[in-house]
Amino acid sequence: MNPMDVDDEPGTPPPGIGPIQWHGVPLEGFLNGNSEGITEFTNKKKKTDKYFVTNQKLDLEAYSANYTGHTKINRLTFIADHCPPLAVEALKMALSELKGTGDTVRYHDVYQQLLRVSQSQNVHCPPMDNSWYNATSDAAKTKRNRLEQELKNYKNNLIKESIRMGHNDLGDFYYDIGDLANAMKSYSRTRDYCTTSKHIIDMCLNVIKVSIEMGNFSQIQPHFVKAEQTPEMPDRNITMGKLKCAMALADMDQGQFKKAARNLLDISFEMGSHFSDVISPNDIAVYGGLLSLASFDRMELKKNVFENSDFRQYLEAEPQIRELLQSFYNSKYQKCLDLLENMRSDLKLDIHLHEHVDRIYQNIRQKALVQYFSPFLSVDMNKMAAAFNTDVAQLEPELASLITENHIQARIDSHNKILKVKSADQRSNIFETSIKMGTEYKKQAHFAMLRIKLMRADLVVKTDDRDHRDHR
Amino acid sequence: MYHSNPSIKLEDLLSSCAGPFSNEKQAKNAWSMLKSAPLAVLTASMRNNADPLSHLDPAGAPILYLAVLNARLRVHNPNYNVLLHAASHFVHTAAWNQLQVAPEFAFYFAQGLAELALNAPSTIPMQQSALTILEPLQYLCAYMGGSRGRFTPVHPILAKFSLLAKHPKAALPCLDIDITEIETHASHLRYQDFLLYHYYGGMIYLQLKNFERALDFFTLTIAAPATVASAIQIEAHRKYILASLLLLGKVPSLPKYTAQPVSRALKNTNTPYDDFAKAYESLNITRLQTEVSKHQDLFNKHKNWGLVTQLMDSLVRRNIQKLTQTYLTLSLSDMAKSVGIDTPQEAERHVLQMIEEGQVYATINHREGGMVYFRDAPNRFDDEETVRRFEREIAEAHVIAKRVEKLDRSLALTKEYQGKVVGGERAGAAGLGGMMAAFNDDEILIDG
Repeated sequence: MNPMDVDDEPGTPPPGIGPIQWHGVPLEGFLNGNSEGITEFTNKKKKTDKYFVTNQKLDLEAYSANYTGHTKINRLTFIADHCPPLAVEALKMALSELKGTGDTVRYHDVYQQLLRVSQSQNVHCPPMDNSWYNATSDAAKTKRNRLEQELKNYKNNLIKESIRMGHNDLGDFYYDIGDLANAMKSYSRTRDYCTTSKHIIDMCLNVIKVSIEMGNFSQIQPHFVKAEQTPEMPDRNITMGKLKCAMALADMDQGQFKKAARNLLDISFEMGSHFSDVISPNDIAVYGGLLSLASFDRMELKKNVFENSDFRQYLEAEPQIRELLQSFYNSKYQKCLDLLENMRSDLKLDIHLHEHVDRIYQNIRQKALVQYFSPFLSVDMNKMAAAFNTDVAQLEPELASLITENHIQARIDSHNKILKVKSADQRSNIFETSIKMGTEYKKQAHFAMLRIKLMRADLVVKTDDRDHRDHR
Repeated sequence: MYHSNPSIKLEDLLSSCAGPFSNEKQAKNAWSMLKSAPLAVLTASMRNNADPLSHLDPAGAPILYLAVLNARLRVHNPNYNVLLHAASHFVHTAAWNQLQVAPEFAFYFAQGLAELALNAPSTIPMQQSALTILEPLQYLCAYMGGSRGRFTPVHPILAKFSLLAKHPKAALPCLDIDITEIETHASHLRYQDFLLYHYYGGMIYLQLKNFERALDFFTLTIAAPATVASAIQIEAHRKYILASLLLLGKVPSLPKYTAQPVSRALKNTNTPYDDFAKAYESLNITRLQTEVSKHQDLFNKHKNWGLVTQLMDSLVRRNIQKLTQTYLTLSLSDMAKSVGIDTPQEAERHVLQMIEEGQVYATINHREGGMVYFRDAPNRFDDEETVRRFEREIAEAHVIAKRVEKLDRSLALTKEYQGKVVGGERAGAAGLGGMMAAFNDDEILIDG
């Protein structure tokens, strides 16, 4: 995402609250359409999906307690944008959290949003804290001047460490008042003045943190590599954990679920909530669990998930996910899919996961179907439909698409509603492939030789005036 | 020297160039005299007012005959019927082995014939005038090297006129033989000849529904060595896209060695075709219809509308064929629904036709309300024919491998290659250094 889009993110009031410009397209949930409560809207202009969740099970208090710093505010406003029943509470919490920062602009915006939502829901709205607002914006101005002055002095004195500190302080300041673009600039500038491993790591982590917040995931990979290569990394387990988290988010943004899952599963439990200004330990369990389900096969699940002591400790915090993994591994697909459906609305309120939920779910479902069929030669589609809590009419096209995409080697007996393994005729295959290869060889060799001869004869397409051979 | 004499007479030419020649030098002299003789002399009548063509014998003095005939073909207002007769007389009786030593006469003849057909009297339709010169062209093409896989400037002319004559099969004897030899000195070949021949050839194979070979021909046109893109290549690429869709249902990527400027030009100019291909590959009939209606005028203008309509028809078939990969049985109504046609009856019609044409192996059972049973393609690899086919294929591959080896050796003997090898070795030696050595070193690396 382009940094310019930052202001469109959770900060601003959702244009979707006013229903005029939204083109309502209720999308049927692919999991049996069992997802009522999530209404989806498609904004044709921006090509982003706008949706509202009304059947959330989220405990806002407990959820937000896992986070600190900006991500807490961002997550709260994200929930407010997408979940009207929780909007007022979420916005109020965001406001009180904002008072701990210097971000007066954001405070103002969130307050305006709260005002609108309160009016539309007919609830009382507390007055804005004007004295805090004025005092903080004044303080910010003085602080900026002071920091800039200090930095200028440091630069005159040419002391590397002081300059780094100056940039870093300025970066912290910009970050605090929510000016991410400038924070990014200042943090990046410390790069040239790093003298110790710790400085490099700090620089990388700062840049990564701001990048994640800006949604600018392309910045993460280079800084991940740089930090990873730094010798004598202090608090190695924790730092690597943070880096891996960031990398996983970047992978996920790219749709690289398997890579993301591997990174998440590789995080030491020591990290715990040290990265709570970006991600909570619960998130690691949820993201890691879902992504591994969506991308690993049974063997990989066993090896990377169930035999992974660090990740198992994370899973303790999210028993639902543990149950989900177990049910999938034990081939209890109906239970697995029910659990998933249960979680769906809350996942839709997650700031990072929401846009991937549908694809993750689809992957899991496809894998479940493939795995269900794998031990059989033929399967009664009625029974299969029952196991997946659906009916044959819906199962058939799903299986058909799995067959066309070559995930299942089978064919459907639509008359008797039976799925049968395709008998592979290896002998014919070999004959066919060898004939094809032979023909291809002959053709390629012929083309290549002809080409050499053309070049030798200088029959090359070029601009020249020899075109008039006939009129000599 | 004879040919510097301005007062040369037709009779002198006839007597001194009739042959037979005792040695090569004599023959060469005679040809150069014929080549430089003024048009007026060659087109003159004989003293007794007789036509020299009726006097000359193509079997004894083919070159002389051709020289006179070519000159006559180049004159304005030629006597159409007389010349056609002379041409046909020539190709049936000529001593071809003598002609092969002086091929340029044959190539001018082909051009003269082409002009004759194009400038035929207005009472004769183009198709007919093209048809009449096909036979002489076939002879020329075959005898001048076409039958040995040698490319001549006659090739594109033959291909073009068999298209104009709406008689595509006429060019097949030449088209079916792969080109293995290209020699430019005597024949004044131009790159356009190569491009046009393969473009026309591709169109001929398209008309004959030999899509595989059509694709090969278009590929040769597009991927020909180039420093700029030719309009012929762009035109060929349009047909290449449509033909690949017909044959394969998708557009394979062009060879790696397609010249950069060409692929860039193709990308810039043929976007409507790319869009059309994407729509077709999606197998979505509505999407295809939108693309078609968007570009209908363009396809018409490029005279590709026929192929486009064929493709529209084939999409349903392709969808049905895809179902055979997925289903063992399927009701006609479900089939109609999933391929996007209106009635089960229509689906049945398609399936029946496909069964007849061997595109699909299936049976239809009406007792169960129109159920289609798909079968696997019958195993065709357990008979004598298979063995014979494989032996043939292996033999052909051997021949090609031999030719590759021969070409490789002849390349290794060229001055350029030797220069690079030697230069490369020297570059490795200490002390020589310098720009040249470094340059050659790079080259060697590339040659690997």
